Amino acid sequence: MSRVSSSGLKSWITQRISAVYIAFFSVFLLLHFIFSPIEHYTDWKQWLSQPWLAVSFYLYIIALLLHSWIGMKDILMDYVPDFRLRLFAMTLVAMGLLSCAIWSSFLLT
Amino acid sequence: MKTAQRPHYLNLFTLAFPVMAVLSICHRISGIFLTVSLPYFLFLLDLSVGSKSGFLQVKDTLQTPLASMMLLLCLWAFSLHFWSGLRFLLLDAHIGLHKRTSQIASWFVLVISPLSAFLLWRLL
Repeated sequence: MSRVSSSGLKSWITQRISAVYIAFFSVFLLLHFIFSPIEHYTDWKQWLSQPWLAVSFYLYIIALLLHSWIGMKDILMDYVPDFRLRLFAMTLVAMGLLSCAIWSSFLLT
Repeated sequence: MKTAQRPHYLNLFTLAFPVMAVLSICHRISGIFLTVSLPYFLFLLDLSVGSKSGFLQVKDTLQTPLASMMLLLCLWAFSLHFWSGLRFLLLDAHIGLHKRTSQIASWFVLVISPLSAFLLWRLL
């Protein structure tokens, strides 16, 4: 099975960049929930509907899904030697993660 | 020798692994755990944003002892993945490549992960 020659580098870079964004945004979210905990529904809705927050939060979910996909792809490649079984597993994982991406686009509008 | 004929020894329980290897598999396992828990967190987000009753439902669910335990587990998985990920990024920048440094860093990550997870759990 042949692969495009630069896909390894592309995956590596994507994983690193998504990791850095996830790290920073996670720290931001944790600090926010610790220092200003959410008590009411209206506060929660209001906080999430700020444009810069909604966009960066959605970006966070996309980064998480991309990072997860590359990780799961590596795991399946390492532990599932049979081609057809691996293809089946990768399809399931890809569809699951893609579904999460589409679902989250409904969530944050 | 063809692949099928090469000798292999897969009884992992008899092998003594370096701490960096243990950390590596912890990173992998925590990654799988986090990936699997992601849809549930999206579900909680969906519920909490949808309606006031949904929000209260999420708030109540998170107070239950079971959810509290699961949250601690998720925070531990996240901390492990985060701190060991940080170590991997430093290794990419060629920091901490020496064996002794690598060993110390791995032990540091394995100790600080449950500590930071517990701290976050108490604070949240």
